[in-house]
Amino acid sequence: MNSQLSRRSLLKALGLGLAATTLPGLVRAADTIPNIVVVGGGFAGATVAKYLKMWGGLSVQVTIIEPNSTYVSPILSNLVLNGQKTTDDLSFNYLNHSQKYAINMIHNTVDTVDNVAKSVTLGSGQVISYSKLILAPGIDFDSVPGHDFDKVPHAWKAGVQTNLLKDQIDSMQDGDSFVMTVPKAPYRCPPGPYERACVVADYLKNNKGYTGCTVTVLDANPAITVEAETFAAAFATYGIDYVHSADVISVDSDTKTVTYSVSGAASASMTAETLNVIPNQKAGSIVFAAGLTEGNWAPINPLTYESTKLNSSDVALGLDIHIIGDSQGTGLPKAGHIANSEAKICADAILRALKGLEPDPAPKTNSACYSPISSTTASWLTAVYEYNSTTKLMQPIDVIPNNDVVDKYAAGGPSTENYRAMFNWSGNLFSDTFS
Amino acid sequence: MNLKRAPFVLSGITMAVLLASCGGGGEGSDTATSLTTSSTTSVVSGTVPGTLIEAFCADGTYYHVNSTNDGTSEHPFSISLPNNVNCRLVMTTNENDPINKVVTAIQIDSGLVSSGLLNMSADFDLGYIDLAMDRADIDDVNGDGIKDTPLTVPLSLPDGVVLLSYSSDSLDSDGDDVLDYYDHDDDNDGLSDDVDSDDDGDGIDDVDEVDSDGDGIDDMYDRDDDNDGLSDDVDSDDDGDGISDDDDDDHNDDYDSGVDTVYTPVSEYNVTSGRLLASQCAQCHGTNGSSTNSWDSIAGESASELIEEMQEFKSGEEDEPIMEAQAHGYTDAEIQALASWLATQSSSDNDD
Repeated sequence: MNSQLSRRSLLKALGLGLAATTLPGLVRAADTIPNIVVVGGGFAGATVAKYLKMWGGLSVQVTIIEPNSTYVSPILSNLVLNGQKTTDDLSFNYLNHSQKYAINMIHNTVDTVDNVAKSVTLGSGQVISYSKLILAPGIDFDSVPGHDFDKVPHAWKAGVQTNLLKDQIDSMQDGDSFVMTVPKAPYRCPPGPYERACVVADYLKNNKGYTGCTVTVLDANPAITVEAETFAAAFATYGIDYVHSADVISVDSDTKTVTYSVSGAASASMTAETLNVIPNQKAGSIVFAAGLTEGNWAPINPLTYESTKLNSSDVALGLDIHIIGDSQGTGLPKAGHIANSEAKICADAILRALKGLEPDPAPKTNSACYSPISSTTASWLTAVYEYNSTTKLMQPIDVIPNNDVVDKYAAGGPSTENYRAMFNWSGNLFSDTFS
Repeated sequence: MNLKRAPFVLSGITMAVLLASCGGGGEGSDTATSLTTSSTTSVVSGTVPGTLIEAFCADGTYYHVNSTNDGTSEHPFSISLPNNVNCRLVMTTNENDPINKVVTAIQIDSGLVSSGLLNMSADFDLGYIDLAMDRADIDDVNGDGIKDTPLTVPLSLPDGVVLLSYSSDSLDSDGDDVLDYYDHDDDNDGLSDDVDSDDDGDGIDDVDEVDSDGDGIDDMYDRDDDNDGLSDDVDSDDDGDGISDDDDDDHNDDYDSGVDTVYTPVSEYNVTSGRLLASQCAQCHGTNGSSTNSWDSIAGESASELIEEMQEFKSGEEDEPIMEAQAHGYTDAEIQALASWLATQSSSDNDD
């Protein structure tokens, strides 16, 4: 299993067009079926693997390498905090991938990528060769000094962290304070932190009946990053204290104290009964280990999601390595819905490449996100993205053309109808990814 | 070390009548059809000199059948295997005689490809397989009765039967076309599995791996953890440890049987811009436009209907702000392309 075995006498079935025994329609140098290795089984990785098999069938073998046999969706995970969902409700496994789509599942970590030998080495030491490698590891954290996740949860990867934060919120008494921080953009799920502040404030006030609790949001950004009107109005309603341009400097995890500086001023500190620090974010560590980052993210070609990182002699480092989901740096947001969207463009481009075809020159991706604002209402945000051949990035299309103010993003304010729609949206997104 | 349990059929519970010259062969019954993982199966047939035929499939399912003694020297057999699931064949002569049984893995040489990994969506006939009846006639370094190399069968395959050559096959870790189940050196590291603490060379000590039946498929993804021919969905003792599942917390199969697990293999990658564009609707409307909930399915509507709806969203005539925003993101030509593709898809119950 650890090397390309060329002992089998396979004729290059190129162009012979014999349906039964040729390896269908693929241009290959190797004498085995291309092995596409996907690192990470979140919304990006799980989708790309499924669609590679749906569209590529027997002409490709697909392997997902993912440490966990259960994936807990961060989407809807703020509803765990108010008790409307459990992490079990948001848990998915890979049985469909294994048994419905015949994808090889390996539950392990990936330590290194060898882009010359075209192989990855697992935490176990096993080496797996790839024809095409797709890195979809999600985010990693840039945490500040003193931040112990086990005491001060970020709950920005769902599962144990989500339940830890929920327990801390549930142990609050009337009059206690909840303080959370918003990381510097770009970060995973743009509306997520503001959504969380609203859900927690609503829960303390309207479910627990606490009138004396305070909720404070320390935002590293100069303003609310998305759906500013919706969230500003909700913050006002809930009495949430919002501080912009607040950079977190350090955390004392034992006393639950966060030290921060607003717009470069002298540092201030805040202590809370429940402290939720969401650290600044960067590409998953394997992308750094592979040398494929510029700054915190991975530069890629949005037509294929192939790495465009060059080494010093202008030789591509990431040839046959594709990066999708939160780790990519294309101007696309970082969230589950658009990770699924990118995955399909990537799958199509890889299958075309294996056949010797150029990628679609004008792909479209889209994002949509429903955000709970209370236990009964939700808002939404959506955009469609197109390829800009000059910048070689994806950019949002003006979606409200008949407006005086051209807005590239459409938003819908909180309503009960949107709250119900949120579960239809997430339900189909979950099934498109995991079923 | 994998604890390789003998398959149910070899466990002595069912002793077939011994037939001198043919080394056995009971009634030709296919005992495992209940295990099919797809809505349809295909039949592999052929003749053999009195043999147990086994199939190990990549979803962990296990099938076996004995050839039928029809009084000739070439006993017919047929075995139904699930469509579109990769499977490997093994044939055993003298199967009821532990001292003399001969186990042979089957490899097919189509003239273009030689492989033991088979994927079917059509019946085919292997013809007569001239299996060894005597251990003296096989390459068998350690004398365990298992032929060290596969038997190659030259064969022209019909449409719908494909040989596959994988660089990493969980049923055959070392790629020698002798299944891990019978390969006493799964990873070809020169260490017999009996003394190799990491049979498949994946760096994970075997004691940490849960593959009860040693077929190379971890129990989590194995639809028949103990290779007794009963899918775990109907097997009350998934891992064959004698502890009923009700009292056993180490079986981990919650696979829902009865799910249609057919995917369509493509013989050629057809580029259709409409499909790629339409796939971008699936995040909200379900894979291939079939919604799983009360949101509209968009599969199976006529292209003109879909185009009309999208234009109504675009103009604001239909008051759906999120769809209005989405519709503005696509050109008329793109809407035409995705609608044409969606119209080819079968609909589910949520059309609107």
